[in-house]
Formats: sequence, structure tokens, C-alpha cells
Amino acid sequence: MRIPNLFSRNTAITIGGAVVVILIAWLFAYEPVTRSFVAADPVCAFCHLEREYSPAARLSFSTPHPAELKEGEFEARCVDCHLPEGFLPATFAYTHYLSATDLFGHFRDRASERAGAWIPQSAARAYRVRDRLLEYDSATCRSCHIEAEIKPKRKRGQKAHAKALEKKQTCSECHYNLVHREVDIRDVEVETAKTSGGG
Amino acid sequence: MTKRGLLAAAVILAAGPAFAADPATIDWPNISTNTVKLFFPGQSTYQWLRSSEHKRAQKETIKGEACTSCHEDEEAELGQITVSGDRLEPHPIEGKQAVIDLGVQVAHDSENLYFRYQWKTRNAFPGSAHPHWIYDGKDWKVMGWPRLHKNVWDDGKPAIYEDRLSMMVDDGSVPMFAEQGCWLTCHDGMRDSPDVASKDDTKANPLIGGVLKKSDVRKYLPSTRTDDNATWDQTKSAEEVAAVKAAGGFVDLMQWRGHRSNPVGMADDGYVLEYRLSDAGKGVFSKNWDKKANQPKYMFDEVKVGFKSRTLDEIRDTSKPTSLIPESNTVAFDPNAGWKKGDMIPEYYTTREGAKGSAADNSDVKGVWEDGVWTVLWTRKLDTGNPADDKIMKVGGVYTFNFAVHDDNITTRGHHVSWPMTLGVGAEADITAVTLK
Repeated sequence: MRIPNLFSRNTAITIGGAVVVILIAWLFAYEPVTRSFVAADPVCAFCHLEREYSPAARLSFSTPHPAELKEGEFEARCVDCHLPEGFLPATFAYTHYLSATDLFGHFRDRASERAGAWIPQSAARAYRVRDRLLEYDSATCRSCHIEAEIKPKRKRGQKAHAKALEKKQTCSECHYNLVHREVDIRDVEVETAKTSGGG
Repeated sequence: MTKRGLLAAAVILAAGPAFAADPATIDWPNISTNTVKLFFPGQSTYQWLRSSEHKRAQKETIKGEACTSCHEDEEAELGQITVSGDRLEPHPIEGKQAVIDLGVQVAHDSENLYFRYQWKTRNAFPGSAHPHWIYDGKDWKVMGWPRLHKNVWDDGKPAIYEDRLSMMVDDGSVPMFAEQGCWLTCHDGMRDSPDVASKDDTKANPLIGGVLKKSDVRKYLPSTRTDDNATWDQTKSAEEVAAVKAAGGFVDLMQWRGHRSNPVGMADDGYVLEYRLSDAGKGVFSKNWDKKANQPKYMFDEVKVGFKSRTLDEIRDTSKPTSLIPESNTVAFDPNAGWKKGDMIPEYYTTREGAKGSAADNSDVKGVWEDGVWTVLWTRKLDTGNPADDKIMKVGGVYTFNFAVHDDNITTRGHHVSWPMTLGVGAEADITAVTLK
């Protein structure tokens, strides 16, 4: 019996072509699919407790961003603040599983939570995010907020922004504790503010 | 020395003290007026300013940035937020002004600073009344409270409290005072602030209750507390506080008072360190109460003023004496003087003769209220000779001043305050004291 040649030249070309098409499609779809489906809010909430991080679940812990929606605006999703735009940064949505930092959030200290205490692990996560925002010049803020278009209405805001530009400060140096449960500022943050030209 | 020489020397010696100008004769219209905007701060305490509630400014405040680095020219806006009760004011007072414009003119010679202050009062009468003792037919009880007191707020009892004008002064010895001024001195735990300390807790504190024998918390500086948040009960030891004081780390605080100092042409003299304290010596006013006899010490001298007491309707009649002044208008209280229900005697007496030492340094301060405006002329020695509890100033020096006005029967947080600002004694500053020729 003769075994059919499954890998004829034509078949190989077809399969190869399909792989290339799929690869190209994947290249194009990777980031949007990751942002829209893999890192959709409900998926995030699987590990990161919804009541801890979602304003819809517990308004006293997290507040919507922006606090008041204007026409044409959308409420920020997890990825908007926590996953920088771009192909490679999207990979963080997969690699961050390795750290498994919040998977155990489901098994944490309930008594402290009931007492309103902000447990250290959660504070540590918040500090890591703050440090990343500082390191990457508040990249995720800037994906929505265009610096040149920010025109504070109040004189105080205008002065603060002018001063921040002069000092080369980044968004998160002033805008923190905006959305999730508040964490205390650290001495190092005050010190950093000092060396950034304040004082 | 010839007779003529002796006479000349005598004239010069006699004229010495007269080099100090009479503030009433200074050519004030030719001295520029600085309009200082005072605003209502509500409960913006040291701790609040360093909390996340002070949005986007927490870190800056902790590291010591100036209030005006963000809030310059915002007095009216901030005052409106607090008087309206939007933020930081749990008991908004209807009609309370968001800001008060304080006109400040300053001159100096080699000995003194001369201030002329002017501000409009909310009421169509001067705040020269203060709480009184009232006879209820059996006992003498307190009548009259500041407007934020629960007796007024909750029970609708009369708001009676003197008008005041205050100055805080530092010479650069108090860290951050130049930047944050009086906001270094107001804290959670104080009277009318968040989390008011209980009498028992205050008495149990080794410094406030133990050493100072106080039963409430008043202004203090963070340098007298051990924790970063300058919590009221985290007090340093008396020895540690004394070391701060010896290094000049206190803020001078002087207050002109419509009832308790103005009638004798004075202002009190105190300082802020571990508490708001009076300078050494004897102050210009004291409580009119004889603890032993459990009755007032003094009453008005009917022979001199035509009455021995007042009634609630009469205490604001400024055509007659409103304050008890032992050296001029009082006699010892007579429990058998035929008291009637509703008779009232001031709760405090004020005395120029009794004021002594550093506490009596402000001995030339006179306020006149006319057409809704207080005008206060205030002479302050540059060098009082009391460096232990006064800021000694020099010609050419620049100092940090903070101004406040208590208007409309109010005390504690109910005042209006300025940002800290510089005052130069003949030197360029936010306010320059003009050199008298």
C-alpha cells in the first residue's frame, strides 16, 4: 500500500502560507486581543479581588476614574492604567502571572480587612505600581492624557502644572491615591520629591 | 561742668525715652498700606495638611514647601470653601466672611516697630464684650460663649466673645515657620479641632497635664513632639522642650483683645512652643473669681461708674465701661449687695498696673472702633530685653509674621488668618516697615 504524500510541495506552501498569515494576524491582533479579552476587567478580577479593586464592587475602596464622566469619555479599565500600550508591554499581561502576587489575595487576612486595615501585601503592590509609574514617566497616564492638552481651569492647577514641567516631575508624583484604597506615602517618596527640585 | 552744660545733659537724658514716637502722631496717611487677606481656615490642621485629604500636596507639605507655592492669591477661594461648609468646617456659620482685608501699615525707629491695623467687623458694634458671670438668683454662673461652642451652636445661648488681633513672629529659628506659618501650630486634638483630646487624657499626659497642669490642648510646635505626625500626646520631656526654647525655637504670639486688654491700652504677650503660653511675669488679664469664697473677686464701683453690674442688654453699651479694671473702676465683690437675677459681672478683669515682666511688653496698644472699622495702633519694642520668650528684632532685619483676626464672637478655629509673610525693619520684604525720620 502506498502512503499518500501529505507534505507535497503545494501542501507545504499552503500550510506555510497559512502559518505566515496567522502569524501576521497574530502580530496585529496580539495587543488588542490581549488588552480587550485576556486582560479584560473580569479576567483581572479572577485573581485581583473585585471588591478590593473595582469601584463597581466597593466604592469606598476604589473610585471610578475619571470621577465624573464627561461626554465622550469612558471609565478607565484595569489595563488602561496598568498595562502600557505597545506590543512588548502587552506581554506583561502574561508574564505577570509568574509573580502570582495577588493570587493569594483570596486567602488573606479577613479580620484585618473587616477592621478596615490596609494589609501590607496590598500596600506593597501599590508601592510597586507607584515605582513603575515613576520609572516609566507615568506612561499609562500619558496614553490617555496628552500633556499639551491639559489646561487646568483653576489658577492653582495651572501653577502646579507649570511648576511640575519646570521641575520635570511626572504625573504620579502629584496624582496618587486616586483610584484604589489609599496607602501612606513613604519616606523615600518625600525624599525623592526633595531631590526632584522641590523645597 | 557748667550749669548750662548740666541743664543740656539733663534735657538730653530726659528726652531719651521720648525718642520713641507716639504712634498717634505718626503721619500714617503717608505710610503705604499693605492689604493682607485673612481667610477662614476651618479645621485645616497640621495633621490634615499632611494627610491624603490635602490632595496632591501631601508630600510637598511634609517636605516643607510653602503654602503659597500652590495657594498664592487663593485666600478668597479657600475661605469660601470653608465658610460654606464644603470642606473642613463642620459648623458653618451663616454670613461668616470668607476673607477679611486687614490693612497693615508699619513704621519703625531705632527702638520700636509701630503698627497701624484696620479691618471691618461683621457686626455693627465692636467686640468689646466677653463672657460674664450671671446671677441666677442663687449662684453666679457663666453667661456667654464663643460662637462655635455647643451652648451656642446646639442650645442657642448667646454668643459673647471679644474681638482680637494677633501677630505671630519668628526670626528663622523655627523650622518651616517661614513656609507654613501658623499651620505648624494648629493640630488635631486641640479645642474645636478634629479628635479633641479629653480632659482626662490631657491631664494624664506627663507634660501637658503633669508639668503644665493644663486640661486641654492648645497651639504647639511640632518640635515639641516625638513623632513625625506631631501628635498632641507624643510630648517630649520638659527638659527637651526647655532646650528647644533656649535655642529660640518658639514663636512669639501677641494678641490685642477687645475686652481683656484694649481698655487698658495693652495687648498680651505670649509664645507658642509645647503649648500656647504667656511670657514670664504677670499678664494683662485674670479670671475674676475668688476660688476660696466661690464668688467673683470684683464688681464695678457704683460710685465711679454708676452701676455695680450689667445686664445682658447692657454689656455691649460701649458708652460705659465694659471691662473691670481694678485700678480705676472696681471694688471688692460684695455678696450682700442686693443682687437680682440676671445681674452680670465680667468673667475677667484687666489691669495695666498688675501686668508685670515680659508678659507686659505690649504696653502701648490702643484700638478704636468707628463706623464698623477697628483701628489699632500698636507699638512693639524691637528689643524687649526678654529674649527668653520674645523674638528680638533689629533694624535691617527681616522676620516672618503671621496675622489673625477673631471677629464676631469667636475663638479657636473661627478666626481669619494670613499666609506667613516677611516683614522687614527698614529692609525689603513683603511688608516693609518705613523708617521714621
